[in-house]
Amino acid sequence: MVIKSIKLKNFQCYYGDKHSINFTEGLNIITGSIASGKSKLFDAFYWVLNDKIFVTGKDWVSTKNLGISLVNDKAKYDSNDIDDLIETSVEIVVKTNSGRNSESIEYTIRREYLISRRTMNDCFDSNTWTISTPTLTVEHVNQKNSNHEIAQGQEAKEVIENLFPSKISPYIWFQGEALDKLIDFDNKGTIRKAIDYISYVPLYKTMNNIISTVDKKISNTARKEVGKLSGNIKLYNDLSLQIENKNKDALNNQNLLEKKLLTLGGRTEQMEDVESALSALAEFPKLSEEKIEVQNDLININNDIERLDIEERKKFSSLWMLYGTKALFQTAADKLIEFEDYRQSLISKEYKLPLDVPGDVYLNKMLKNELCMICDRPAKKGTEAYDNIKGKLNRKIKPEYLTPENEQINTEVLTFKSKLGSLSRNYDSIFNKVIEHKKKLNNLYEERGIFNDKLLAVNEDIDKLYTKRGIDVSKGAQTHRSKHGEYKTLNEDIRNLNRKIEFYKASLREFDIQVSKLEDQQSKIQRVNTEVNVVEEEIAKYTKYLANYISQIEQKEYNKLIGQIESEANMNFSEITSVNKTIDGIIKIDRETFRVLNVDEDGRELQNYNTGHYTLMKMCIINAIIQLTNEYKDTSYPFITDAPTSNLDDKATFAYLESISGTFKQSIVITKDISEDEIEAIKQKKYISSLFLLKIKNNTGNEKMNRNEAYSTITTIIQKN
Amino acid sequence: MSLVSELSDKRLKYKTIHREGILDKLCEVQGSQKNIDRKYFSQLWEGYTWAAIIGFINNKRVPLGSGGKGDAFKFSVINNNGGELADALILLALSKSKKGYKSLTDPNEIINVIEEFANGGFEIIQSKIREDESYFNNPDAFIEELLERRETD
Repeated sequence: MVIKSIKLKNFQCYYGDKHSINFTEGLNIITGSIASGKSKLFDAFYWVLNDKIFVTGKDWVSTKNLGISLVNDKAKYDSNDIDDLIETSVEIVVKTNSGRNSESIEYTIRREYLISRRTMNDCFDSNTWTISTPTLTVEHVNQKNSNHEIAQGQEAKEVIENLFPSKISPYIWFQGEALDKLIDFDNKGTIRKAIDYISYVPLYKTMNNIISTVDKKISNTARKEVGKLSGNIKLYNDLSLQIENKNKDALNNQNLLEKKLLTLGGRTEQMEDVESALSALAEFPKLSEEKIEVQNDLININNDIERLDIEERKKFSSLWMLYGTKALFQTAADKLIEFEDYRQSLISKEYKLPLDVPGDVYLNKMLKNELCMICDRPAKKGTEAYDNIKGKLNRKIKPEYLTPENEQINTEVLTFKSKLGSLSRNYDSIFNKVIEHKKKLNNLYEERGIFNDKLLAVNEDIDKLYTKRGIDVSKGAQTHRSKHGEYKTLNEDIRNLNRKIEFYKASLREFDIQVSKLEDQQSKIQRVNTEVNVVEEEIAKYTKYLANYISQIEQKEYNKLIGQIESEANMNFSEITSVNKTIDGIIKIDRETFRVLNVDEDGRELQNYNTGHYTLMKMCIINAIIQLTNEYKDTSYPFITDAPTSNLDDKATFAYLESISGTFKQSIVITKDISEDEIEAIKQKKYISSLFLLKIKNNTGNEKMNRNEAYSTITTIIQKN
Repeated sequence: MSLVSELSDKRLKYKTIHREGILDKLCEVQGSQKNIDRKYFSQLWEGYTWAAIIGFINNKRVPLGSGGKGDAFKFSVINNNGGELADALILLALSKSKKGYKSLTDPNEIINVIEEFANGGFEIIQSKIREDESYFNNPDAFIEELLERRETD
């Protein structure tokens, strides 16, 4: 059987009706970061088939106890009128295998329920809404008459039970967090239950029960017949009566023992719930403290970002904005130099031809002496020479470079040359300072992202305490008192039950001994006629032999299956250990305690394995159980699992995925976040058929995800066939 | 009187559309520093100087023309607050002025060149905003724009 598709409408974090996935045969991987909707998708699969979802610490919780929490928050928030209706639904299409006498059939399984708005109070309050009963339909096309057939209610449930038998479903619908509960290897019943489903062992058990009952009846009849031939009929019959009574008492005690064992099972489950609630109460102060710490860290990071931001704006508006103007400054510098060159050229020109020499002092002296002091010739008044000297008086010609305009330009050139020098020195540091600033800011953004994720995770944990474990931590002391009271009562009950169980077990052993002794005494009484054969006695011998033989076969078959589970599990395990050198050894199931052990080749238990290794070993055993079921029952179930690999490293995760891809015709694995690089790597892996990416988004552009606005989206990254 | 002191009283003019379309969006008129969502520039002159530099770097000189020269502020505002940026603007105007070094004695020419390149810068910024209205809403956009500028020797 394969799951062809799933469609979701307003289911938990999936807003609207645009969410669907088409699956392929082989390995389908669904990935997404924290709070992207992975677990909710798993919930959708489980809910459509079973009307309940897995809740941490509470096991499976039914729709009627979940209220409006199954309905998408944004859909509730969008509602703005009385009588508004919101439909929540999940639909999956499964295709059965074709057999020798049957063709494959596609079943469309759909579960939906409606809520309608009663009041305009808080949309997240259950009392605001009227909740309808969920409806279940299963549709398929009848192969014989091509009729479209729809099963509803109980009939639909029966179709689902047929498709996914409830005995095996815990192993194929597998939620990571339920692992400890599902495969509790400290509980002998776990492996036993799996084996009962896979194999013919229960058949042997039934046969054994029938034979034992027959044996008791035949033995009673035989005793009566033998008694008639006894030398001491009175004593013989007396002993027979005692044996019968002892057997009756033993049967009675056996029944009582079974009842007590059943009650003990129930009490133990209740105890687990109470313990979970108590541990939730113990968890709250730690989580609350963690939340405050993360919030403080975020405040510090935001302060650092704010400080850097202010610094950036200040520097930007005092210097940084000049970045990129270097060439223009060079042009400006060239123009300043151009002026200096020009001025220098004027100065040089003046040196060649000094126009104001000789000065007026000398000229006046020459006029007074009527003599040219340069050529030493006379210059008598009234002569041309005299007038020539006189004409040179008052020649106040300034050099061209000293004109007021040039003087002013020169002053500015000198000023701006010095300013340019200082600007250039500062300019050269801009680039490195900007890059350094950007790096610091990016680091802080990254850090803020990490702490925001942490805050989201711790809020989710606290949310789980409130909504999922059903613990109102705000009434801590009161809740604690009541839970502690329950704990004490249950503890007392369990202790009493165990005492009674031990008593009945001891009494059964005692009855066995007493019956043996009585039978021994009977056998010592001489018969009157040893020639006569009592048929019933002969038959009783055979029934005893048969009962013993069947019991041995049962045990043998049982051991064989444990061996098979072990060897299949080890085949998967060795594929993974070959790539991850930190995990080694082999898986061993202890035949006495049914504990799962990691041992070396000599059977010695290895001590260095951690939770990740233990999870891996359990997963390998689940794979083995499913694999053997498929072989024994000649069928195939899709394997769907949520986050089983979160405590494995990447290499081990891929090895695990490869191993299940080889085990199941179809597997759907919802796994932790896969980075962009890894997606490229995954595209190259032949054993992966499809890859889907879940993301949380909102339409507001805000980085912060608010429950009123945020919803999950599904994108197909790879689809190979 | 030195060029800087002559410039002090001169007013830098710009088109009203750029005041509304750019400066009001990017500059805090009140200069508030408290709000994390504050605008990138705390005063108008910062936005104006930034626009002028973008105009100079991209060599985009656009005369203001006759219409819509609505606003103006004194050059001394930049000089009093921006220090080196005022000197840098004069040097950038010098680099582009057709009057060459003679512009250093011509405050009107310096003002005119700065105004025309600032106007060009505003047009470049406006076209970026036209392409993506939220482009400069992200404070990182200013540093990004800075690093996109080509550095030539």
